[in-house]
Amino acid sequence: MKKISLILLLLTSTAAYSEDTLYSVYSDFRNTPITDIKNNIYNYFNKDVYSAIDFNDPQELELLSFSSRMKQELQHFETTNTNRGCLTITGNDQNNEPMAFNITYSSKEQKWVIQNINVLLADVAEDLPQEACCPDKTD
Amino acid sequence: MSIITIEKAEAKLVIAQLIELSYSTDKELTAKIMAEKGGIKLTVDGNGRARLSGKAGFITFSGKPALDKLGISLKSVSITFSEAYGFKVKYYATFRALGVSLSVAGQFDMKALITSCSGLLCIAARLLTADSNSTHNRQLQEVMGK
Repeated sequence: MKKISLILLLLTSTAAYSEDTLYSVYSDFRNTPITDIKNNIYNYFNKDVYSAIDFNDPQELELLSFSSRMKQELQHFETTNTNRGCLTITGNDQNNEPMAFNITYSSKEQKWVIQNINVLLADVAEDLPQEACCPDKTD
Repeated sequence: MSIITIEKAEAKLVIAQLIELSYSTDKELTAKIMAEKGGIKLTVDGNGRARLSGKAGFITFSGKPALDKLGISLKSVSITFSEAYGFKVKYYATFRALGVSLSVAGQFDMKALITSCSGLLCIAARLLTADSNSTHNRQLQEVMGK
């Protein structure tokens, strides 16, 4: 019984952080106008990403919106703990070639913000991930 | 410009150029390493120092001539090569900057690669297509590090 209680407690504590799935956060972001993202960068990214991206470059902002690079979405996978999570979205790019986004999120003031983005461009769909991949572990 | 804007074709060209730079540094050892069945790694650090390593040993060279063409500041590049089938080699390359990275996964034909170069590797390529019972084949085995 103690074991069950402990498991329940652990499950509750990991689920208590945020009810948002990473995919829903990603979908909201993808549907947010670029100008809104640019004006609220700190709400979406942690410092590593916003120091790596030139937010004054329209081409980079366009690519950051995800939807411009991935034209067709196929699958998504995610894994989270209390302060970190990884989301993988697979699909096809504008040339109908397989690609994936691997995104690490970190918690910031009760919200998920993007900590790391990996764009995977593949020749064949077999090379796309079939589970959530954290960008810092994509070697 | 940041890493996120690199196109797949550009990334592939950098991978091929890095292998070429390794060839131009040490043709024989590069050929031996690239002929291995997996476990091959090519890395470049933020200063452009490149290293190709496998069971046969390692080669260090400057990767700058290949990376400078991208015009992007990189933290590192790592490429792993594994055997697909026949002369096909699978690769997974990741170009990293702080917070953002771009990966390219694909495969290339080792025979086509080595026939596009000169010197020892071209000799090896010609030997690859020779009769399996010929003396050429024995030479090939020597060249490729039996």
